[in-house]
Amino acid sequence: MRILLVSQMYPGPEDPDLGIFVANLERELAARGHEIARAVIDRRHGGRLRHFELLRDARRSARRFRPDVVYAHFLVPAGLAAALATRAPLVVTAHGQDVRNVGSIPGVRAATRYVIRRSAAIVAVSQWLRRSLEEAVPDAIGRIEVVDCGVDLERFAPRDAADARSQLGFDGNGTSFLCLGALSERKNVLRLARAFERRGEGSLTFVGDGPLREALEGRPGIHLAGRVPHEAVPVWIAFTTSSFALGVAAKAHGLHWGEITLMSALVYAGPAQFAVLEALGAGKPGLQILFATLLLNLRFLPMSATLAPYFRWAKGMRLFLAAHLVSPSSFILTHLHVQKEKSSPDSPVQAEILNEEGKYLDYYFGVSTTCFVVWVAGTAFGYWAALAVPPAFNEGLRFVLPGYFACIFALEIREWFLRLVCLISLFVAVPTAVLSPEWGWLVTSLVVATCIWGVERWMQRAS
Amino acid sequence: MDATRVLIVVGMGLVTYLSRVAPQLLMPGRSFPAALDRYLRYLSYSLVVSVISVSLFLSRARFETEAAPQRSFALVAAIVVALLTRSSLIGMFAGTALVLALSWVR
Repeated sequence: MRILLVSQMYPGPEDPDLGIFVANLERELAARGHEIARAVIDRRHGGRLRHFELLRDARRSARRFRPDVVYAHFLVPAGLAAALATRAPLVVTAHGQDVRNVGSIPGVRAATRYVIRRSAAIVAVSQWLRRSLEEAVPDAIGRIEVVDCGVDLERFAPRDAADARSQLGFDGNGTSFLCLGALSERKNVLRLARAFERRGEGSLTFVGDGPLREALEGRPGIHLAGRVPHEAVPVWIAFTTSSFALGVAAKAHGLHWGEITLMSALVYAGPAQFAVLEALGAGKPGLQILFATLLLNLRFLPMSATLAPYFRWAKGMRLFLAAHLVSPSSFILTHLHVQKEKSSPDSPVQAEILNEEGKYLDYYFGVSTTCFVVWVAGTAFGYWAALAVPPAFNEGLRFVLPGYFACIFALEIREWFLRLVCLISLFVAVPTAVLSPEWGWLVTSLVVATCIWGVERWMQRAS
Repeated sequence: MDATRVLIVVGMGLVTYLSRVAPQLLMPGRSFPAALDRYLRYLSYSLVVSVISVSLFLSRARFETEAAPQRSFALVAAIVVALLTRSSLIGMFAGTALVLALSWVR
């Protein structure tokens, strides 16, 4: 189906967080095979004049694209622009503020009523909003479907919260509160700040920006992290659990608190640290542990090679640190950030970008340093928490990290060859480890990975 | 802290640092071969899954016959819950709760 998307909020180069939910919706529609064209406003500045631009763009797009359906996110002005732009069936979503504007801004009630009458389908993002819209515009009664904006559960799956804590500068004392959203009156951030101050402990971090920033600055215990790129938020929220689980597992394997914390600081590589816990706890040969670490951490080679051009500006200690802080999180975030800037229509030409890569190094340091601090602190905290667990729970402690990794793999692995690698390794590792306790599982992994990789290469060549 | 373990940890740090810094020193400006990238990906997954298997079912090179069925069951349950809820954390908690409950019942 050909769908014309009309919205006055859409992420742009200057405002990457603006109407991100509309972009997500568009992505999901495209993933289902629909053809999408869009007429959107992707910046906050520009005043009311932007709404006339939206109408003009919507008309042009409708003429060129000839949509089967026009979808407007927000009643007015997006719904109005969509209704005036084309005769295609109109689907409109009421998001919140557009309903509150009815009756508070002159002319909006009449415009909203027109949009409602013109619509083939009306969506509200909550039951409360459906009732509010029906009260404000009775023509909508009985015609509204409630469909919330949803959450991208892959993007916002719990991962390492410790990462988030360190990146936001949490010091680990007391309860840490996090508020994500615009610093505006409508989001009630001042009341939240006052409630936090009355509590008298912990820290409160606001991630976002807005007109109330000054009113929130300088308050004790309150940190302002500013506006952040949308893609970094889930990593912040997610980085906690792995490091915590690693600390718990280290305790279960009989390691000392200092040993696992030192390991997190020096090795800073989750899978490798996890892999050697059992061997280290059981007193297996150092050579075996180092070999396993080397094999597992060879995955840093391609990451580091990709990031190498940004490290050209780093000298001495900065280069040492830049290399040490390479992790999947910092690699992916930096790589995506650079790719995004390079693909932006307003981006300078390639040669100019290459001259600016010092700034990407700063971005990399910002992301990676916070990840590192959270990882180390999260491990220590996990170990400390495990100390309070009675012996009757040891069986559970032992399960935590293998169970966590197994769940992550089950959710993340989509490729059949990789699934095959994991399944075969799961079943073959135990018998080979019984046959050769020191080297069995290592050799198994090498053989399984090599065989499947070889088969894949052979099939690629054959096809 | 055990001195041998600390030495091993320091060695692990050095080995890991080598794999991080080598591309900076040896191949600046050159891309990594895609086929090798893929092989390393397979290798790292295989290693971690092997460790999951070994750490769940073996204790000092001995197969834990009594505990293996309940741990297997908990592992499968954790994966199913994770897939249903799209959350690895919830899956892990479900599996941990189940393995605990089964160990107490046993």
